[in-house]
This record gives sequence, C-alpha cells and structure tokens, in this order.
Amino acid sequence: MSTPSVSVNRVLKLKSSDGEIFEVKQTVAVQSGVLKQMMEDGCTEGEIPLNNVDSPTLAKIIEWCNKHHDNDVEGRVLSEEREKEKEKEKAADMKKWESEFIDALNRDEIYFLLTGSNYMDIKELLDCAAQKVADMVKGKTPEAIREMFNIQSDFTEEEEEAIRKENQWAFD
Amino acid sequence: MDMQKHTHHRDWLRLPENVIATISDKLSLSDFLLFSNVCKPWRSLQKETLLIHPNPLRGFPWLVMSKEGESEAKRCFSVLDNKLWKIKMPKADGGLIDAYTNYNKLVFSGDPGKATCVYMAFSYVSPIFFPWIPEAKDWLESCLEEETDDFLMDLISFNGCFYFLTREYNIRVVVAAYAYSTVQSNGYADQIDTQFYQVKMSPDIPLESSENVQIVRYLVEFRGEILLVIRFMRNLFKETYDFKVISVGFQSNGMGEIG
Repeated sequence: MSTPSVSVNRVLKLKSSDGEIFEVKQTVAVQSGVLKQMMEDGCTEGEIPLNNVDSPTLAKIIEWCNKHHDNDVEGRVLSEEREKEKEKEKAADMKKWESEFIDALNRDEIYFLLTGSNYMDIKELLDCAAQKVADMVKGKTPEAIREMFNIQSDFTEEEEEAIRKENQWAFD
Repeated sequence: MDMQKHTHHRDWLRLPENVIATISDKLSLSDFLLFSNVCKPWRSLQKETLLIHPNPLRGFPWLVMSKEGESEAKRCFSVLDNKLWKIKMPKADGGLIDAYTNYNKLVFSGDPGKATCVYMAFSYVSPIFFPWIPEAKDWLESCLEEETDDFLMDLISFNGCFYFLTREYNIRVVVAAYAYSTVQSNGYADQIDTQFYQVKMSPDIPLESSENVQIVRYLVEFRGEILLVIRFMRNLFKETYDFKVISVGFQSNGMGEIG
C-alpha cells in the first residue's frame, strides 16, 4: 500500500469548467474529499478537470481552503494554557472571517458555492453555505422562498391547497 | 462573449439532494415544513428526513392522548404522517405514585416506535418523575434529591435531553441516553441524577399563584431554543392579562449557560 504522497511544495493544477487553471498546494487540496481521494490513488498528474465548477466559484472555494489551511498550520509552540486561549481566539476569528466571506456573496454565488463544494466534497464549506441559506429561509413561507430563489411552484392547485391546510399551524 | 459571469445555469429546484438535505438539517421543524413545501423535489425529502432519519435538533412532533381509563395502551398521534399509533406501556403506579395516582405529562426522547426511545413522565407539583423504555417491565420511579423541596411543573424533550421546569424556576436536565442506561440496568441505581440550572428571574415574578395573580408556567421549544413562558392570569384563572417569555439559553448548538 502506498501512502498518499502529499507534500508541502507540490501543487495540483485544477481546471475549471470554463478552462481556467488554478494551482493549489496539495496540503490545501486535501480539504476536498474528491481531491484527497485522487491524491491517494495517485492520479493527480497534469490538469484535473472540474467540469461542474466555474472559475469564479473555484476561486472562491480555493480562497476558503487557503484560509482554513493557514489557520491550521500556524506555529504551535505555545504553552498549553496559552495554546487554548489562542485556539479560542483563532476559532472566533475564523467564524468572523467565514461570515464575512459568505455575507459578501450574492444568491447566485451562494448557489454555485453549494453545488461546487458538494461536487468537490468540502464538508465545512458546504455546511457554511447551507447555514447561510437556512438563515435566509428562516420564518419565510413557501411563497416567499420561491420568490427569493426564483422558483416556479411545480404543485397543482389542489396540492397547494392541501399543503396550506396541512401547515396552517406553522404560519402562526 | 459570455454576458454572465457564471457559465453554468443556476436552478435552485435542481440542487443536489445532498445539498438540500444539508440545508434542511439546519432548520427548525416549522421552518423545515415550510421549506419542504416550496417544490416537489424539496418535498420528496420531507418524509425521509422526518421519519426515517429524524433530526434530533428539531424535537419530535408526537402527541400523546391523555388518560384513557385503565387501558395500558396509549394512543400517540404523529403530526407528520397523520397516523395514530397505539403503544403499550405499563401503568405508572405503585409506591410513592399512589399519592398522585397517575402522571400528568409524558414525552418521548425520539420516535416512540423505536427501541431506543426513552419515555419520560412526571407528576405535576411533585418531585417525582418516571422514565421507561420499551424493554423494561415497569417505570423507574425517580425523585429529585431529598434535600430539595422544589417541585416539577413542566417537562419537554429536546435534542436528546429531558428538561424539567420547577416551581422555583430552575431547570433540571436529564440526558436521555443516561436515563436509558439507568432504566436498562434494571433500576438498581434508583436515583436518576438531574443537572441543575437556575434561570435568572426578576424578583417580582412570584413563585406561587395568589388571590390577585395566578401564574401558569411551561417550557416550549421554539426554533431550536428553549423558552420559559409565564402566563399571568387573574379572576381565578379566567383572564390572561400578560405573558413573559424568557430564553433559558439551551440552544440546538450545544448547552449554553443560563443567563
């Protein structure tokens, strides 16, 4: 069995659906379940095509992964107590960074971040984007949610009526 | 040549199932029900997520019909699939409970059809509560510590824990898994310990009803948060004139401090 040959200096070449090439350190790329698997299987030579992720989205995804990677590898030579304190601080900083990152995106960008992080299997990013959507739909009726995401209802009128009855209590 | 920045087409209706499931996992029950009625693909997840893999953060929409004579079988109503279930459970009586005849409220830690579900009942204005699990012969009669003269006033199940509200506005928490193993070990440890949390209350809220002011208090789960509701009434419980709602600080993302 070969161990994954992840090295700090090696980079992967990711090719977005619109043909742009992005270079990512292997140590950063492991956050993606899909890329990690490819590295373990030793098939990361050349360009790796990501057919479901366009370049603006891939740039965002890489920005996220780089940030989370940097946060993980900062020096760890502090005393245990200081370490804990530092960890807490870092976690708070990261939370802040994440919410700024996600809040700066428009609905389309969030959509592509959802599909992109799902496709590349980056759980933390998918969670973060999903939380943003959850916050957006909280307390909203199906009609309001449809309007927000430009969704056409695919229910028949009878189905709509049945749903309304069923959920009356939830509208209070 | 492309006018749009993104080269793919965005269509929220066609989000992968996994993405929709991840989003819906972060919603409270009422929000989730609304969300799943947006379109058919989202709705198709409803049954699966709610009934097959229920998210414990959301609480469990089961109603238990109150006393039905001497019958051992209780009827439970599932709000979500509109079904009545009959569940056979032993009658809570014997020993201390005689004094209070029966329990006043029963809640589940999860789907009552599952073997891992803990049933928790309690007697109103008493220190006594009884957990039960489907494989146990009898309810495990339990009591708040002897030193306390505090009484239980309400009980809800939320996120794998049981929360009792007491007369002195304390919250007593029993983790369902712990109750399960205690009942399973046949009740040799006949005391189920509760974790104690004090709700910071303003001193002008009375502990007891009086001639001028009657109070009714209960716990509710609202959007992943536990709230203490105090209802102020007068004319001997005939007229409600005020409500006070206090967040007791237990949230779905872990147990918070009461403040």
